[in-house]
Amino acid sequence: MKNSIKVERARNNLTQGDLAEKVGVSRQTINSIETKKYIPSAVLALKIARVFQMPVDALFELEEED
Amino acid sequence: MMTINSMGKAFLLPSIFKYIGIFLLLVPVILGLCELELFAYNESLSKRLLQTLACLGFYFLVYSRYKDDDEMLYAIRLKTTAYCVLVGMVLLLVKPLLYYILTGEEVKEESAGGIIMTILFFNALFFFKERNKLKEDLKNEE
Repeated sequence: MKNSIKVERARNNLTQGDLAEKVGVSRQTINSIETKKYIPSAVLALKIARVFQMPVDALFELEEED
Repeated sequence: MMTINSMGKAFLLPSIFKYIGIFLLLVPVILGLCELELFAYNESLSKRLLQTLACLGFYFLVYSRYKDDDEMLYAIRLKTTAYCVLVGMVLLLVKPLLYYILTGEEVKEESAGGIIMTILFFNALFFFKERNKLKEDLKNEE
């Protein structure tokens, strides 16, 4: 699953640590999501989308293999 | 109705248990090194006692709450638990067969305590390996 968290983070001037704190997870988790090593739960995806004030499907996109 | 939530940490023990786990794991190691009279007095009882301490130690280490505990660590716990159940099953099925092929001797019954300890050992090993890998990935990112 593709995501544009890194881009949105840069746009909103947020570090991985800032975003992690806002959504209540560790920095490792944000890094793993950005590098596509971990697919977040629906709850976490909604929380991240809420931080960037955008719909989930604009932030996360399904790929062929999903 | 109980909700299944990947963010849930209900079954995790308070963080103090990871220190208790380390202590419990050190006891069998120290007792083993000291070769106390206890072993000579009642070998099966002392073996069972040390096995129980080691099992509790490994369990407390993996299933205690960590500072960076979140849904990903929770998912890693589930993944490593699935792996170590597989290891335990292979051990249970393959070890007696290998023992017979290699030694030609009668196959010994594998003790339940031994299997549980092996499963918990691999659970701890896989969990900390995965956790360290994540930390290294983060360091490399920096």
